[in-house]
Amino acid sequence: MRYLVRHRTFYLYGEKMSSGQSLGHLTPRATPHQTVNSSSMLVDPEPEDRSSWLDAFGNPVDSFTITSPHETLEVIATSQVDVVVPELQVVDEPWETIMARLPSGFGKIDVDAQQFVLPSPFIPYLFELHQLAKDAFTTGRPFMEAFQALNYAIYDTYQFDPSFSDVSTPLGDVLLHRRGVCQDFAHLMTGALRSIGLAARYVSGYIETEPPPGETKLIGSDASHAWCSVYVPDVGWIDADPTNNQIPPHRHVTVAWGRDYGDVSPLRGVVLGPSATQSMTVQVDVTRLDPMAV
Amino acid sequence: MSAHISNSSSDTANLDQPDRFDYAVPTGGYDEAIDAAGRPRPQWRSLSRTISRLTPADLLDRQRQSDRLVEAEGASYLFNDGGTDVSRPWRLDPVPVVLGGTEWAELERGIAQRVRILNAMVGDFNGNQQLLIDHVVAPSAVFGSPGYLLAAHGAHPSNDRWLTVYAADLLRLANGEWRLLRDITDAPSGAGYALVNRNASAQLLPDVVRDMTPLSLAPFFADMRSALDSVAPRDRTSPRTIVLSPGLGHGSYFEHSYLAAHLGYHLAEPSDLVVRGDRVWLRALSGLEPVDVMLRRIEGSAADPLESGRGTMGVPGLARCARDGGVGLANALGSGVASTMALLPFVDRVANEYGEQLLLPSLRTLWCGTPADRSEVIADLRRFVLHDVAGINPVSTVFGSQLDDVQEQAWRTLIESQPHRVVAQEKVEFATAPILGPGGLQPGTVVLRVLAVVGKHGVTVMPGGLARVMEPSVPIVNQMTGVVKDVWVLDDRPDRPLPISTRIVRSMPQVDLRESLPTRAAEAMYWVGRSAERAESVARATASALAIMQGDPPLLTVLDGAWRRPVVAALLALAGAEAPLRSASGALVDTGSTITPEEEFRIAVAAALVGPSGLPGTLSSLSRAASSARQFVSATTWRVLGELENERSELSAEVGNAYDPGVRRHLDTVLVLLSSLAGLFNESTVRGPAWRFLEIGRRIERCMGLLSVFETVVSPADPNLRNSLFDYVLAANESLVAYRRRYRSDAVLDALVDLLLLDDANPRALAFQLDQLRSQLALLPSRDGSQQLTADIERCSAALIDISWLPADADHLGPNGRREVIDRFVLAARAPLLAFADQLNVVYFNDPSRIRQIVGGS
Repeated sequence: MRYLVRHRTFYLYGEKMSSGQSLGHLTPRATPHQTVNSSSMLVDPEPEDRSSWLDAFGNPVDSFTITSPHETLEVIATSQVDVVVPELQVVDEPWETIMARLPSGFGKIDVDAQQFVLPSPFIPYLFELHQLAKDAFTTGRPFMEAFQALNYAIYDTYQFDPSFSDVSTPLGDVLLHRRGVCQDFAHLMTGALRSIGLAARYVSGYIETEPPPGETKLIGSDASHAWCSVYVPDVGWIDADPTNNQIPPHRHVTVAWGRDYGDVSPLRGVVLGPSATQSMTVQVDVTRLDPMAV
Repeated sequence: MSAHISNSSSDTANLDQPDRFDYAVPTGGYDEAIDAAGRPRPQWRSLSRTISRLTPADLLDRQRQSDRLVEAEGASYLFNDGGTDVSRPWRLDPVPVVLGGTEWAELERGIAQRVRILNAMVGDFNGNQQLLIDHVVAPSAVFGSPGYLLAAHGAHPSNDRWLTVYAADLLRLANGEWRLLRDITDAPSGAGYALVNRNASAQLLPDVVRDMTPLSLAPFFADMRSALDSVAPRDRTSPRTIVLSPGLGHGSYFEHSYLAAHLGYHLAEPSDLVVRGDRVWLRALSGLEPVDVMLRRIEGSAADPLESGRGTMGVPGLARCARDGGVGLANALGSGVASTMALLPFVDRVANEYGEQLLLPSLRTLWCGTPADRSEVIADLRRFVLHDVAGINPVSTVFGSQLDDVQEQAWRTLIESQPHRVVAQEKVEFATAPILGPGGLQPGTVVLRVLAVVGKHGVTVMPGGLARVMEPSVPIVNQMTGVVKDVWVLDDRPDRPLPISTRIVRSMPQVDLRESLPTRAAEAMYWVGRSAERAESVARATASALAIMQGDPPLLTVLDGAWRRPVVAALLALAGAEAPLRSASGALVDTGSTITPEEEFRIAVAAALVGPSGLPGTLSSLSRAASSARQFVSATTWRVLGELENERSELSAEVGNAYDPGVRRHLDTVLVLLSSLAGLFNESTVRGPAWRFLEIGRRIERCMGLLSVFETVVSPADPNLRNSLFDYVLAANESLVAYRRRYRSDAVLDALVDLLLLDDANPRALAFQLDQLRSQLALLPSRDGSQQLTADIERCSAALIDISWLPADADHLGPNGRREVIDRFVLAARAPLLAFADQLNVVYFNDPSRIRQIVGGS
């Protein structure tokens, strides 16, 4: 599948800022199932400095500095990617075996996976997360079956409610009120998997905006989306989207992954200027392209 | 050579045993000072002989002297490692811990080896992680370290130097062996404190120091300078180094400011720095000045808000700049990963991996992330000291034996659910050292903070350090005691390398430091000037009021308070306090009780001398400002500030009775001290831009004080009491003698205006202040908006010209009981001065319209 992604962020600061520095995870990364054909980022006003690098997880990072006074900031990231939906892996060993195999692994990929076992700033260890996991991961249950059950449980029990949470809502509140947005559900699933000793990471990305004929519009398609991925030694990383109850997720474009939202937030910055009420608008369009037509 | 001296003195000691000092150890374990037979150890003999001659009262007197000496450095609190501002009062026990050179050399080798191994280990963790891939170190111990920074990945510090500064806490066991308690690798503190302690202890026991010649700390700091130079990016031949501190609220701020001044570096806070292009720049008076190396004293995790995502702390872009080699950091970001106690059990395995055997072992440490360790800990929590290592600091630590059932369950749950967070160390018996307490010398436990720097020529360990005195009922990591002992290392090895004076220490001049002035220091100097002047106004106004009132007590009540009311108003205005509200009946509105004139006067004096915005607040602003600009003020300043602080606390004790002669006596001392401060500012401060801002602050504050006294006292002065009120005004402005000499008459308004406002030869007059401001302004670099500053001074000057034409009826009270001419003048002169102060802030200091804000993730 070929997609054109356009992610526009617009800040209205309400006052003139004298300078600003920003850092974004807006350029999709390459994955075993995704090729990035092209990408570009427009920034207005024109930054004085720009630089790009790969972060510790291999995600592309773009950063820029604006030193002229400015009241607005507009960032438009555009990319064209080819995505194949991975085949569903059959993993029917008991989940405990998978968990126990993790620390004994040799090699870079196994070591890398282990940084996703521990709690992280946005995903502390919570007993409720452990319970959520244990309801699905019952003793001896085949891994994939339990994984699907957890994904479904979050999809089924938690209500999607953009008015409920923002990036600063603690995970404990999401658990208590059983509502939130895709970032929260991705955090829930990631935290639940970690609480029983599995390696799980947070994935940031997008969903195709308009459904193909005959399919329903997915939740989270007008903004940045997020889901979760779990590591199975010798098999690899397996994604799950608890917001839409999909394993593997399809019509998804991956941008970056990390321990949680904090590692891969799409755009953050520090500006210097008088304090004022700022507002931000985000628009995301993911359009399916006919590969033959391009 | 000194070894001979101590040997020969011990020989004489054998004859009459004068060195048996009053100190005994009941436990029979190793003691630093005496051996198993109760005899002083060789390295202690000279010291113990001196101590044996001192009575308990003498010893306590040394303690008091020691407190004074520490205070004289402007330091009253000891560091804490956490960076939270829970400061503990700092007391230097005058009796040092003395270690022999041979024993020390062994520790030195152990520390040096450990630093090399940790450096390689940190490099591996932030690089290809071969130690994890090869199962030498458990990944969770690394990834769970609060100092593990993603932003450090892929960095290549100059010369592979991750650790430039290192500290460790060591303990001696009851059997005499040393053990390492923990490594401190992110932004270790202690070097500055050790230096302050040494300066003080050398003055407390001068003959012993001469006799025993403990190794000097100076070479360590010379090595520290050259070590910092050597982390500069490769292309910088004459690197510019600064000390980066989180700021005044930080628990170790004293050390940051002290070290910066001692090493000769600018002290900067994150908001003083910007990353532009590939470099870091310091905001300075002349614009942005490049920075090559930073002694980083902010936590790695708070160094860059763009990459660590923790609020607005730090310097945006610093992590990338450091990774790309634009700036050298000591220590490099990511060094803190090795601070976690969870890694202690792995360090000897890492050493083996590098083909080495650890010379200095740590205390036996178990990490619950390892199944075998976990089982051993769970089997009996009571045997262990338990640490939760999830927080960067303070580590939360308990004695397993002191847990009640509920707490024990909580620890067991933690071990089960998040084993990587729990580290356990077996409880062991420690050696003792003599500690000075109220009853003389008693055995106690000390933890030795040792410090090292890594430079081009390897590791230098500071010959000495800090010995912190422990409270036995509290786990060591949680200790809040601020009692420390200096650590002396004797030069008694035959093969000691040559002293530093023979080594060549090259330190190139950096930029032209006479002219370089960071914006923050400029602002701090301005506030040093303002606060010093304000303290003087408050003290002088209060002393003058007390003197005049005590010479003529009926003044308090005469003419329904015509003298008292303006004087009280003047004092309250200086104290920044509100006048007590009274109803028409004279009753206080808030309490309903009436107050006597005496009481009202006393309240005003108390507000000035002990009120929060009076003398105490002003003196603490003065100390704060001076510590932000330590590099620019004379070292003696701290001694004067320390004595001012003593006088202030004595004043607080006695101010209950404003009529007590003690109050005036202390006030006189305060005034003398403030004059010596003014003398230091004038005679011991280089006339550069820093001094100019100090001078501007002083002058502005003096203008404000003059206008305030004209408003509160001169304008409403009752004609029948003019003499005593104008005398007060003159005395409060140190011009009474000049007035009497010049006018030989009772005070009259036009003479007062002449002497205190118009006379440009009187250093207390407004005209004089304006002249000074003009000349200082002319020497500052011109900036956008700086011409506005000159215009403000001229507007104030215009008001002065207006009042030089006093109309004939100027002295008459208007219908509101005030002199309109004076009121108009005060308004006209004050507005431009206030504008001046605001504009100075905008033009030269931190523009208040530039607030840092985080714009958060979409």
